[in-house]
Amino acid sequence: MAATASALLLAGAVLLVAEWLRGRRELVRDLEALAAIVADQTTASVAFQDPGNAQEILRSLHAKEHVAAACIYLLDGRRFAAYAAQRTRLGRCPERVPTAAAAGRPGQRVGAGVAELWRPVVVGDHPEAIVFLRSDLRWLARGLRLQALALVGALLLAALGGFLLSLRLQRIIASPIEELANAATSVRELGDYSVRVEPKSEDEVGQLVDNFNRMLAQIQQRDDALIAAKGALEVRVDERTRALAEELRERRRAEAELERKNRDLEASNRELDDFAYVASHDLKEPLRGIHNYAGFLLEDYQEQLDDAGREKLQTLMRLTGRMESLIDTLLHYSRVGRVDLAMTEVDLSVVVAEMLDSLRPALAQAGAEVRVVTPLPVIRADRARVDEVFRDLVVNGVKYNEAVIPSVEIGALPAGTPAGGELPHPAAGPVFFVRDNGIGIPARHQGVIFDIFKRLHGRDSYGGGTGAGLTIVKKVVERHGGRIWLQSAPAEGTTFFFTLPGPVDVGQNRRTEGG
Amino acid sequence: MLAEDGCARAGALPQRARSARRPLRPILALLAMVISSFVAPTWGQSARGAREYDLKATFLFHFTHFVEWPEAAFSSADTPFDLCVMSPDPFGGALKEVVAGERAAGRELRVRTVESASGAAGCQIVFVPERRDSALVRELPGVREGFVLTVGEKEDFLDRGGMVRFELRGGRIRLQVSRRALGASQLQVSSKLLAVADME
Repeated sequence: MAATASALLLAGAVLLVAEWLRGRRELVRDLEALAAIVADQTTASVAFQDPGNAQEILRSLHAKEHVAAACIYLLDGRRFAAYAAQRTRLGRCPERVPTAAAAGRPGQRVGAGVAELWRPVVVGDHPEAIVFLRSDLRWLARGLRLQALALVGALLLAALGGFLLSLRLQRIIASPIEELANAATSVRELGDYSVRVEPKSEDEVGQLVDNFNRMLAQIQQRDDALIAAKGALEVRVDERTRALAEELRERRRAEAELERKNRDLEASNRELDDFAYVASHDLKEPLRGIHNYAGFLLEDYQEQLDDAGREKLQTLMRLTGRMESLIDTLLHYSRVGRVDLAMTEVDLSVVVAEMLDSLRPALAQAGAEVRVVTPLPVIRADRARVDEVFRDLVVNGVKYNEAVIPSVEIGALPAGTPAGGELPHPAAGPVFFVRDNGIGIPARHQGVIFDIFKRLHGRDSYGGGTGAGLTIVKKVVERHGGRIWLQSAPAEGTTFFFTLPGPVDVGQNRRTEGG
Repeated sequence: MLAEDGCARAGALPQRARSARRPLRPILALLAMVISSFVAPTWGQSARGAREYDLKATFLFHFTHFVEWPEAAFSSADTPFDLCVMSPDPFGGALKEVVAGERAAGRELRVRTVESASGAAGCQIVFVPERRDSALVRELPGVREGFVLTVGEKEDFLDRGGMVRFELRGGRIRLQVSRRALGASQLQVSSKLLAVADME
């Protein structure tokens, strides 16, 4: 607005200056024409010395408003005729010809407020007089002032029009857009999508406002949905976190419980082992005494005793012998649980061969056949214990056997081979087996055969025994980090499977054997 | 040529003036009268005595500028322009001084003093002084053909067939022109001349 106004003003000023220069040029040209006419018309007046006529002619110049004064001077400088259009200083012709004009040649002098021009009056070939015209440039200024006024008026009108137009534009465009901008700012700064701009018109700006509102509504909708989803998600995450924490706590509790129980179990195991050792060790002493004294009685009082007495003493001796063997077994068992394993490289094929060698007389007596059906590997183990495992299982297989030719097979399966309905861990190493064609074990008894002193048969049937063999086997296997399981059915024989991965630490405060 | 041009311009200006500033005219007329009252005495003085014929000599010369003669007024193409004064010559050499070295109608300008009417044959302007009879005009050769501008001083000069008379009035020399005599002649008189003259 201000720029336009100043441009207009500048243009107006330039226009005015140009107009002024043009007007002055025009005026001087007009003055020249007038002077030429006057000079021509006054020739006779000058020639025949008729100032009245010259006066008349000069007076006709009053039609030219800018002409302030017009005079005719004779060549000797005297004023011949004069016309004053103005009763001002400009309107008074000089009494004598101005010096510049005296030469009788045409000339002009244009000053700030006045333009003077002179021309000779030529009669025949001779200049006889001088026409002198003077213009009041203020007349030009008056015209210009009018133009300037018109210009200023136009400017004011234009400014007014512009102002009104801008007011209207303000109402139509600027103010809705300003509201839009404000709304956008509040949305950006406050995140408040509920802001709406009131549409004021049906035109493009109105549509813009409508679209803005619609867009805001959509954003708000999505924002709400997002917030709701976020809330739901947070609730779910919270729930899940709580559940997980609960689970974790539960698991820790369970682990702690397990550990505690484990510790308890270990402690009680240890106590049991210690107790068994102490008990059996300390019990053996008096038992030996009882046995010995029973023998002494039987030998020394043979004559005094009747058959019934002798028999009773013999039973006493048998029972004490049995008890000793039980205690020995118990000692042995507890030793297996207590004593550290002597781990070495053990070639099982050698171990088994030597073991079979030592059993050969017994086996031959039973007419049994024992075969090693697969190559046996070299493992790290306690040689004596492993020997015991194979020996016990072979002996059991031959012992609990009613076949014509009792048969036992020893072998090893590759690590991880499914066997006996179980899938051993590959890391547990080869799966060993000892298979017999014995009497088999009914399914209902398979769970208890590893219990100590558990015998499924009469005390003296199948060669008797303490019923601790499988218990010790299991213990040895477990101390080697392995598992033992079986597959069996009555009359079909039994197959024991076991693994021997490596030693298992059974506790720190283990008492070494002795004492 | 001159006359036509002058006529057109002289006609144009006053017409516009009258239509535009009619109410101012009385004031301007008064102004003109005031100025004239200053100017007039100066001229009255100059027209008196010996200066009178100096002026008249100038006027006679100036007629050559405001009047056009037909070619037939001259006997040949190189015939000089003759400005004739009937004797007795009242100018006393002033006229000769004025026209010295001048030309008129593209010809050499001569001043001749003539005794009788017949002596004025071939003259383009004939001046008849106060002391000569105005009737002389009719006898001048070339007058009947309308080739001669006759200028006189005597009061009955125009009545006797003269064309232009110098009249001494209010200390100034005024021109009196006979419309009839000029109209009958072959001469073309400029309207500018007529504007400063009194018509009879």
